[in-house]
Amino acid sequence: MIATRHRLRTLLPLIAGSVGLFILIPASRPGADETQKRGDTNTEPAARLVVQLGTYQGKSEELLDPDAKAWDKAATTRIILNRTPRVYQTEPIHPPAPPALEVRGLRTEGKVMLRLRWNDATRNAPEAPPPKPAEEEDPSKLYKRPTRETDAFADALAIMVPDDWSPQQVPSLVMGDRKTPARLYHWNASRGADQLIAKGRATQVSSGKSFPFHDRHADGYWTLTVDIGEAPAACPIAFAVWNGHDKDRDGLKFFSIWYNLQEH
Amino acid sequence: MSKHQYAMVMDLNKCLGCQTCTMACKKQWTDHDGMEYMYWNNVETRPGHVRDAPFQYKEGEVPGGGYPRNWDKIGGGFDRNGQLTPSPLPSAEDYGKAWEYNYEDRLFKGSKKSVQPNDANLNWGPNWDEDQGKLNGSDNFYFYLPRICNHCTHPACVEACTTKAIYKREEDGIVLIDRDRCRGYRHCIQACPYKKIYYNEVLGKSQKCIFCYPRLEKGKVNACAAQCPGRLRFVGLLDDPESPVHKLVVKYRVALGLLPDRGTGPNVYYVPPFNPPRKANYGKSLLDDPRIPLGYLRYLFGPAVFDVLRRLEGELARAQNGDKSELLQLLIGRDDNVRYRIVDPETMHPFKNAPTHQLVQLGMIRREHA
Repeated sequence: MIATRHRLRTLLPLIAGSVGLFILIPASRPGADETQKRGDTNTEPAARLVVQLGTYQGKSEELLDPDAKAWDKAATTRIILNRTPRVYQTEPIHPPAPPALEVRGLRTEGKVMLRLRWNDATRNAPEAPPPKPAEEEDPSKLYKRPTRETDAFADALAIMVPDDWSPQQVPSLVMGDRKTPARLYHWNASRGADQLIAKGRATQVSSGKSFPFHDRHADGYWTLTVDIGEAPAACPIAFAVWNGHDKDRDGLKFFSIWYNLQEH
Repeated sequence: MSKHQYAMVMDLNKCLGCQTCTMACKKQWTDHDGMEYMYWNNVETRPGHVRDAPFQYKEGEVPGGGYPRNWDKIGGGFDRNGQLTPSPLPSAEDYGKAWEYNYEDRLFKGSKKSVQPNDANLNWGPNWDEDQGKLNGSDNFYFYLPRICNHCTHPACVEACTTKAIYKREEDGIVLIDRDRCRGYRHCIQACPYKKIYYNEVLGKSQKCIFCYPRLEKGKVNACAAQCPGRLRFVGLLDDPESPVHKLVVKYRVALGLLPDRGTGPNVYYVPPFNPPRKANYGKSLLDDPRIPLGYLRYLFGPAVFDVLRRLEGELARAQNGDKSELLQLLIGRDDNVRYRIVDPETMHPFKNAPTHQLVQLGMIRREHA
């Protein structure tokens, strides 16, 4: 295989005579083989990606405080984030570097509490006026709540778990599938927390429920604590991060593959 | 592609830039929270945006301006390979934020200062370049360009929407946004080459011109067309041989879509503007000595604009010789029943439940006219 690749590398530019192809064929790839020998964490099989979950004796609300002492003792998992692929040619070829997302987990009262911290130089939380309830709609009222920004997007993070999980099941990473719907805990710096249910890409619907959270942006970091309820032991979990500054939203995001919760 | 297609033709030779259409639409549809900056219908001056003196047109130049600012330059639509080419998102400043005026001081606090905007340093608004023309040689030229959503045959917004919230109605080709599905991602705004979708921050959803479909379904013409004092708008189904839009676009071929190179197949068509003849060009053809630079018209309406101008000039010459021109009679569009034909797309018949006084308007009772 390697020999073939070498031969191709020398022959193709000669045949095609194209500058474009020179760029497409990597000049040398010794790094890939060496990495596998070293057993670098980036190439570990997915099954070994775990989020450590400690235990806490106390009320879950106490853990919504990101400075709670219990968090200092909890093990930190560094989540490997990937950028979604480009869709249009107009998108930048070099995507921004993924943020370093650190997750600490504690289980208390049966519930899973997570403390997530990731770097984001700018706090992007365009403050949209809250939607008015339909019954207050008064067409004669002249005062209008205006749109202030048309091109601003909020920082956001989502945690995905299977909605109803039984061991050995691995739902689709693309927001679940018909057999195993995904439950999404979506936090948005502007609009707060929202729980969604999805059965595959672009099928998400809000379940109308919120979830307890606390967010803080300081010194170039977001710190978010969330209560994601009673997730079963060893349950798969995945993360996504949107940076509003780069106009991230929808599929323009950083995502992780499935991790598993691991109690210790 | 839809089974039938509602379309509008606007005769740019008749537009007087009064914005009555803009206000008709505003009152009817965009008079709610988060919509104050939206003009689903707007009228902009072309070429506009000529603040750099001297205001001389240079060959091949494409002036900017419009609403939102430079909408035709920033991208959108499809490239030659059918790939979407999304543009950057226009900012609130590009659309032109609503100005605040000193009404409070003037009306209630006894100030003698005339009514004027509070901000003295305003440099853009939704109709900032109103009436700004440019010199072509020694002659000034400008014209008004009314714009609504083009309800395209291949809508870039539909292609770009990741939540499948935008759809083109099968029965009449009107492009609509499903408010329940829209999540405010704004890919559609980036994809639209005409920038005719707007983001409502209060709702967190995007909104657009609905071609007054609730009015059409009652047999009434679009609000912008109904209110137009210049009577320059023609409405009907493109595939209905009786409709004025079919006659202007298909039969006489004198109306063209805007920026056809963007590949979306717009269904709002324009009769290109003439402007008066230049000084001392007696006997010369419009194409030989045009007041509006032909390069600019070609940019807006594509290369077919030359044939259209030639055809229109031929019809004018015919009428000037005392012959009858069916096309010019249609373009004059004296009566509603000439300009509009609102039918049930399924049967192609005018709506049966329309009130009697509207039957003429709907084409059910044909009135003989010159």
